[in-house]
Amino acid sequence: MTTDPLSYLPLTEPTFYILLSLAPGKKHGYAIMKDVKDLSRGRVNLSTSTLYTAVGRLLDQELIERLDDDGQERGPGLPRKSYALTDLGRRVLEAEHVRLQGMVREARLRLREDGA
Amino acid sequence: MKRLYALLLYLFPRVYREEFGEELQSVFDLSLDDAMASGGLEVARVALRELSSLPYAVLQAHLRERRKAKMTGKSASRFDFEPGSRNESLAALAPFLLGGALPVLFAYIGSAMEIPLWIQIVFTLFMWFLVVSLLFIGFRTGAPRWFMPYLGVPLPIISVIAFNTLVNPEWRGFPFLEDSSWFIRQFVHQGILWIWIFVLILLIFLLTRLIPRMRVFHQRLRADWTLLCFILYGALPLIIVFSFEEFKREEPFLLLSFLVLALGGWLYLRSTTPWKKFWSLLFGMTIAMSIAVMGQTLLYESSFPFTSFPLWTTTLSTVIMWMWMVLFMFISAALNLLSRNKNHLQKPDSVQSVTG
Repeated sequence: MTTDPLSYLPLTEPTFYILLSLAPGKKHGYAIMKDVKDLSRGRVNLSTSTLYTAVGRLLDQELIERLDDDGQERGPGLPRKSYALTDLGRRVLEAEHVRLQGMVREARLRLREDGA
Repeated sequence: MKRLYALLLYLFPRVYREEFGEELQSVFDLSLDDAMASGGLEVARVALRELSSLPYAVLQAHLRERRKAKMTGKSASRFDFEPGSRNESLAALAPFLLGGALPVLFAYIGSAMEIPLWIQIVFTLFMWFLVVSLLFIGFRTGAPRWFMPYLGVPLPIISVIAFNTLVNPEWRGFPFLEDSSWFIRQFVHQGILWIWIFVLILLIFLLTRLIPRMRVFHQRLRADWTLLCFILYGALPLIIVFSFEEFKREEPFLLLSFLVLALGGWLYLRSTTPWKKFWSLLFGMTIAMSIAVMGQTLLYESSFPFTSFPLWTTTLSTVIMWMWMVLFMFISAALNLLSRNKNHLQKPDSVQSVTG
C-alpha cells in the first residue's frame, strides 16, 4: 500500500465526507452516515451498503482503522465497532483539503477577473 | 423489512458477512427506526435507497473478496466446499437428485394426480435451471470436486451425436461382423456408441493441461484419478434414461436408479482412499443399472405387447452398456497407474489435500 497521500487524490465526494466525518475522532457506522448527510447538507445520503463498501475500501487502503468499542460507550442497538482515521488517512484528507483549496482559489481568481 | 434485509445480506460473500454483516444489519435497523419516526414516506425512501444500492454493493463485495483471495492465495468462494461436507454432497448430487430423481418423482405423481402439464414443465425446468446454475458456479470457482458429475451429464448426448455424425451409416450395421454372434455385434455397437464419452473425458483431461487458466483443474485430475471416474459417473443418469427408451411407466425404476446413483456418489465423497472411492462409484453404477435391467424385465410385456424381439436382447444391451462403463472406469484407473508414480497413489492424505 503506497504511503504517498497524493496518490489517493482526488477523493470522491462520499469518501471525502467519510474521512472528514472521522477527522474529529472515532465514530461508528451509523454516526458516520448521519454526519456525512449533515456535512454535505443532504446531498450525500449514503445507504448502509454503500457506506460499508466505502468503509471496506478505506480499511483496505489503510486510510481508516477499525476499533473495538468497549461496552460502556456503546448505545443500545449501535454497532460494536467504530472507525478512526489513520495517520495516512489524515494526511490524505489534508492533501485533499489543500487540493480543493487550490481549486477554489483558482476559481475565485478567474471569476473575479471575469467580473472585473 | 429488517428480516428481509437480513436475508438479503446472504447475497454478500461469507467472509464479507462475517466482517460487516452485524454492522450492516445494525445500521440498517437504526436507519429504519429513524425513518419510521418520520412517517411512511421516509420509510419508503429508505427502503428504496437501500434496495437500489444493494446490487452494486454486493458486486463490489464479491470483487473485494476476490482481490483479497488472490493476494492471500486462498479461495474465498462460498461454493468451494470442504471435502466430505454436507454442502459438497448436496452440490455434487444435484444432477442425480434435482436433475434426475425429483423431476421423475414429480412426473410420476403428475400422471396419477393430474397435475397440469405446464406445472410439471415449469418444475422440471426450474430443477434443471438450478443444476445448470451450479454447473456455471462450479466452472467459475475452479472446478472443485463436486463439479465433476456436472461435466459428465451432457456427455451421453454428445456421444450419440458424435456416433451419428462420425460413424458412416453403412458401417452402423457392422457388416464386417455379419458372421459374429449377436453378443459380439451388440458389444461392438455399444462400444462405438459410448466410447465418445470416454474420448471426451480424455479430451477434457488434455485440454485442461493446455489452457493455462484450467491448469489447476488439470492438476486436480492428475492428483486424484478417481475424479475422471466421477465425471463418467455423471453421465449415468442419461444413459439409464436412454436404456428405457420407448418403455412405459418406467418412472419408479428411474427414480430408484437415480437415488442409488446419488447414494454411490455420496459414498464416493465420504471415502478417504482412491480405491474406496472407485468401489463406491462401481457399487452405485452396478446397482443402478441392475435396477434398470429389473425394470426392463418387469415392464417389457406391457410396453411392447406386439414386438417380435425377445426380452433378453434389451436387458443384455443394458448389461453390455454397464460392461463398457466398467471398462472405462478401469481404463481411467489404469491410465493413471501408468502415468504416475505409485508412491503418490499410496498416500491418500496427500491426494485429499490437493483435491480439497
